Amino acid sequence: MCEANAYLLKGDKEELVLEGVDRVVPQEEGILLEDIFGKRKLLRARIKEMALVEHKIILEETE
Amino acid sequence: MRIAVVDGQGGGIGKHITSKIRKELPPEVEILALGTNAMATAAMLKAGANEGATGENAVVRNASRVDVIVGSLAIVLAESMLGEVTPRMAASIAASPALKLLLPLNRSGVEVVGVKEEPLPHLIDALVVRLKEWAMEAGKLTN
Repeated sequence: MCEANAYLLKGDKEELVLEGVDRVVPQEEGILLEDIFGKRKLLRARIKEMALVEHKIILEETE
Repeated sequence: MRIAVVDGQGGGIGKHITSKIRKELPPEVEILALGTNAMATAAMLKAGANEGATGENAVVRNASRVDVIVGSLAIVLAESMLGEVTPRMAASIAASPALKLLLPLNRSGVEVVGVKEEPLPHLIDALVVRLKEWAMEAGKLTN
């Protein structure tokens, strides 16, 4: 697949949390990610960077 | 021409395929939404399918009664989509005389070698182009 993948920053490492992301919806509790198959993940995180040519969404954890 | 769009889980892929077919092909083309669950069927109906049916028996009964079956590769893989695609469903689609146009989404532990990774909208565009070509060749479409 060639949609964006979402990664969560853990220290200086990027941990893959969801592949083939279709929607990114900011919510009060964090960021809701939904892939092209409809699978959803809610993360207590914020967007640090979106590198769209590289198909990457980099998230960082919030308190 | 009757086209069955088969999808499961949230119906997201089936929804996109249905809406693209509806936009690109003439209105007399009949789209039958076959969902492995009611949510998927509803999403495809909302996207413009003429009729919808849900579950194993609906897929098994209709697979051989359409001209073309479209969906992701998962629809011919038993136990895919978290188990929503039953062995009977997968077998009936695979055995159907209808043309199967499948999107090579590498999931369910199956990778299709030699396929270039493309974003989903590009894959769906290519599917609809091929569908039109085939329909013209087979005399199912006149213009």
